[in-house]
Amino acid sequence: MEEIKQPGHLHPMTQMIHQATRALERLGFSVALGPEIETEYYNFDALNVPADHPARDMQDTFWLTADNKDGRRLLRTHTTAVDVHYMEKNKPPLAAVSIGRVFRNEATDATHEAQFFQLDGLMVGRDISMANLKAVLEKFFQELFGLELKIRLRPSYFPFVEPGAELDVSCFRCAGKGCPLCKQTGWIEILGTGMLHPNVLQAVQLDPEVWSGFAFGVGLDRLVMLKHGIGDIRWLCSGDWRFIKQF
Amino acid sequence: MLISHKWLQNYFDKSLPWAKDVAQALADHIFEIDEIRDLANDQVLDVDVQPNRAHDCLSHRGIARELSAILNRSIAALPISADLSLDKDMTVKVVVDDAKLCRRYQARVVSGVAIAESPEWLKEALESIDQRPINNVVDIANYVMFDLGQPLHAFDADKVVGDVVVRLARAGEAMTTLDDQELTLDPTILIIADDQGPLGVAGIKGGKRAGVTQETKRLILEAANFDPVLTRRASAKLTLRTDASKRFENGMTVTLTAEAMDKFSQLLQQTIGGDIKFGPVTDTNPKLPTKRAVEMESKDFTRLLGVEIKPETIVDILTRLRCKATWHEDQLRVVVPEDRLDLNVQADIVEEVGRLYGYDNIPNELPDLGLKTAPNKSEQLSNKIREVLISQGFSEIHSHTLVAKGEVEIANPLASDKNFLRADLSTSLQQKIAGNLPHLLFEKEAMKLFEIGHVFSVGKERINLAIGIGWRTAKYKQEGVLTEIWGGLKKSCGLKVDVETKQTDALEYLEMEDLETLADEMGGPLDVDLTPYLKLDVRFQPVSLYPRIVRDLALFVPIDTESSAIGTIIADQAGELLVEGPTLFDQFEKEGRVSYAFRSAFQAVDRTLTDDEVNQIMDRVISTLEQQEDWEVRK
Repeated sequence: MEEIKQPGHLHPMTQMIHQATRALERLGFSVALGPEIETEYYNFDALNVPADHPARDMQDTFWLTADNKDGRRLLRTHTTAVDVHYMEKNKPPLAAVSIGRVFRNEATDATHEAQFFQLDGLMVGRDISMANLKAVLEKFFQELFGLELKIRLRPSYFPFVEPGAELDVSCFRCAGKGCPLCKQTGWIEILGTGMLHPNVLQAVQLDPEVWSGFAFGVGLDRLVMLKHGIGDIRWLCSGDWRFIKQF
Repeated sequence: MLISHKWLQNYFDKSLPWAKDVAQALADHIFEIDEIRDLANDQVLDVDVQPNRAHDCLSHRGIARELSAILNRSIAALPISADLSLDKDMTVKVVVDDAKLCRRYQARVVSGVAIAESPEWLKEALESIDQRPINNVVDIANYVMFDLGQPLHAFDADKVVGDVVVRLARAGEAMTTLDDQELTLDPTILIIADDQGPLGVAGIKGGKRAGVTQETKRLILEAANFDPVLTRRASAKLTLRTDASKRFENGMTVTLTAEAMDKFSQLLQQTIGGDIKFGPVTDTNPKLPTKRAVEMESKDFTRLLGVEIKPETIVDILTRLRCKATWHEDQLRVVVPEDRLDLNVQADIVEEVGRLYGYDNIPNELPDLGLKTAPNKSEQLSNKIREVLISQGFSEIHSHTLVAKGEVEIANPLASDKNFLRADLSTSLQQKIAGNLPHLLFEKEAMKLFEIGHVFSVGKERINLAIGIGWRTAKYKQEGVLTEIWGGLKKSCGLKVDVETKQTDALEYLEMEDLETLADEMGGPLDVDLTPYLKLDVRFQPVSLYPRIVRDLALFVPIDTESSAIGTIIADQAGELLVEGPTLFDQFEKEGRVSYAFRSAFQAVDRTLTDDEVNQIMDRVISTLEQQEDWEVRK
């Protein structure tokens, strides 16, 4: 028997990361990477989430046993932490996308894992506004899910942005008509976003009177699940051939 | 927070819109609504109050104020207390040890109290938001908390010995709570005490000793403002989270205690009546907070929102939010309501105007920053490795970071087998290869996997690559596959390093350390193309947990027959129970004909298939194949 060389399979998460990254690159974003172990400063303090603030409850955190000289260490709860590093090292105007594994100390089930992938986008310039935020995010999701897609913003709260918003996209399964995927609303809640809080800009020595910017963060596991109809998040990290070979 | 539509209506003269429309108005302009519940004669909204507004919106009045701003309807003021029966001789002395920890403490004595069941309206209101009615005094305290957001407490005055003291607990002090929990206190925990010891944990839970019972005749009412951080820490330490602690830890304005004490007293008077008498209010800090103002310019709005909003519209919106906004030419002065602790800087005011103006009314405008993207070498290297390995038949997995063994430990793990960060990738890769081998269709086939991911050792985090290939038994093993693969990777990625391959009986693997350093040492940018491997439209097919049945089928066909034509017929006839194949695994020519052999696997998602079922399928396949001219199934 002659062996026919079949190509292997690229993990669907990597496919999503690749697509999202390329789409954002076309919008001017550079790729930024950062460590999964962070200090309390980069994950929380610099992002306007001081110790003892109830906003810390929004993200249950894994702490490491040994502290180091930079203070308490943790597993990053969001790749927004990379934004801070990036703004420290690069001068505005700038735009960066950071994608990687993040961790939340939460019980796991079919839709929650203690680890998942997050994409965080950041754009800073003179007079960057919510109008820019809306345009960039609409364009980004149109590239990912189709050109007819629409977005909408609803008020929300994340400590590192002000104003803060939640972004919905029109359902890519039913094109906004209403279906089980979007629970008949025509919209799917996708991400948190907003204009960088002045305290965050100040933490990286940027004058909020001169510079403004926006950030957005989206959990990619859910996007992969929605896109491919995967009912249980645990498949993504299963390493199971019966899952991998389908992609 | 649960919000009763009927309760909310108390704040408005005209009828509110239906709960569904109220929910939509709130969702569009302030809070998401998790659920709308239909009760017999009420509707209840589960409002997702975010932490930045927990200090003023964990209450019906807070939500009513938001609705009033959104719907542009005026809101009813709280009635002024005029009809209380006062007794100025009934006083209570309050000593606050440290005014930073307890910013205000108001207390008053009430006599002539008769503990009884609450009136229907009160029970109904509390039940609508899932609160269990207890007795008139406790229920009124709860009602006012859910109405105004200020937690309240009532002590049995006859069980309090001496003055009411607000102080840190002493080491070794203990307290039994109203619901019989034993708490051990320490000097980080603020308590309310009398001469005999703790009466309650400040802002968290009342104690049993001076708790209200059926026999209670006299009360001491408490409306206080405790330090948010202290409350939060104590609540975490005691693992006691209550409706009160949730509110205190978010902080609230000190003016709220007076409003709540007033409403508490009025409702007691109305509900209990009779001989009830109220002493004067002892107040440790009657000073009102100074008014806060934010100064800004019209460009602050345009700059952040990206749309020009008329000055009079800005004033209108801010007025609806109870701010006093005045323009002096291009300068705007916004005096904020003292209960809105979240309004401090210009961006806060911009958000208020933006969310009521409506984010839908902001146009989309692509920015033009003239940015050039810089390629990330580490990402490029990872993707090039993926491209090469996948072209060579290797598949990518992602596995868990949190594992049972490693060097870097989690202080608060989710489970005892997830308390370390992985120190390498190849440990799990070997397990996955072994676990997956039975899922392959052929005994001789190799399982080829790789992973790229972060690994951790003490003081060091790096991105590794592990590649592995495994066979079912050692007899199928081919030597040197990975050496060849690594050679190809080095060439494609411009790498100079070598890596040792490791062997077990039926498995070969390697782990390359620190791709980021490798990427730094690598030459120019890489040309990466993953597009051939993107399967963006795949719909995931659920995997059956039941066993599969494998069948082989071989047949002679005329020499010019395409094997794919045979495969199509088999697949068509096999139907939906066919889960893998038909895969061609053997072919040879003999006497002017060609023999093809196919393997197929059958499996049901909901049951174990029987041999009989699969035999029937195969019979159908065979008879269809044999209907073709000159096709002969080998038996």
